[in-house]
Amino acid sequence: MARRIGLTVVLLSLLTLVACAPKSVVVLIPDPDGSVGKVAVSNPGGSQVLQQAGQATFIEDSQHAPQAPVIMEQAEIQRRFGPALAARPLPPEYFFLYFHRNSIELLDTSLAQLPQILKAIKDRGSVDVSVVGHSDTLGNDQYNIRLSRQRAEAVAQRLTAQQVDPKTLEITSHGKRRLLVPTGDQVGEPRNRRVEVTVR
Amino acid sequence: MLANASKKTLLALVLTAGLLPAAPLAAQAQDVVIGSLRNVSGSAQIVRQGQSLPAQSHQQLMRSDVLRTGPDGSLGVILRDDSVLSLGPDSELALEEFEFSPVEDKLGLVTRMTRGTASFLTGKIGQMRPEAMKVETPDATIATRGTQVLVQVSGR
Repeated sequence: MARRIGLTVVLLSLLTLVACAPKSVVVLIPDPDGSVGKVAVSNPGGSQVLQQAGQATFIEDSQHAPQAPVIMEQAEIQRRFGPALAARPLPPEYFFLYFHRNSIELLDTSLAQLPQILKAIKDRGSVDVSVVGHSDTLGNDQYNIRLSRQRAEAVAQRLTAQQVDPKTLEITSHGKRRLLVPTGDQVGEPRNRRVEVTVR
Repeated sequence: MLANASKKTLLALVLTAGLLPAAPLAAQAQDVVIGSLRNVSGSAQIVRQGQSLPAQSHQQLMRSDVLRTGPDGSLGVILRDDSVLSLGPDSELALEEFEFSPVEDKLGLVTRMTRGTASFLTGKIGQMRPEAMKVETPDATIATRGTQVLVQVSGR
């Protein structure tokens, strides 16, 4: 008799567990740069905001509000999300290279950055690199489209000379239409004379 | 008699409606490249317009693609706005909406996760307009504000 009651209790608690097991979990983790953002989780039952690293909310179903945030231990995060975390691609890396005035010659400081770009391409096994040329507002539109195109091509050439596959480079130019530092027309601004390289 | 006439009119209306071109299922064109795959391992598929294709690293992704992994599968994604996603085993994620044209002021990234585990790292869409980026699950909507988030959806 006692045994039967015991079995019933076990079965009942199992049923309760199954019925109440939350269906979704949302966990906030830091960005690659270490900063922590914010995430709002909401459904018809209510909502919760996570804003601390490791905070998690469990959600039973769409009719029950997300539960009060709790801290999920690193080991538990790994247990649940290990394979997904391991499959994350490296985030894209950005490089800004600057040029002498009215020229496709790189500044020495920018020339010194080329090895870092090559390393980023290699580390990612990247097949998706954009090389986008820009200029300041000295001269007319057409002139600057051509100049910024030549700047992008000069950078691309330096990359392909170091065994980067040309097919993986997307070379474009915007002339003076996308200023990094807003200025009026016919203004020489060194920070606008640039090529932006994005390694994905 | 009158009732009969209106029935005929109704029938005519229904028939005419049937002849009108069907409204497109998705408002957005589906032949747009929105990103590519990375770190594909184990069994993983892309479901594109009803057809299942084996997923491979560096393969391009189109709008409305659905990503699926098997019990040993996992994969990573970089979208054109530099958002970074990944899926663990036994997972399914639909790339429902992707608009990244800052010049035309069109920004939107909506994904729907039906099972498994995933990570999401906000890209330019989320940085430019946080409310434009959403992850939908059967239980809740997740809106990130420039951050990295993990989501698990259990089978039901």
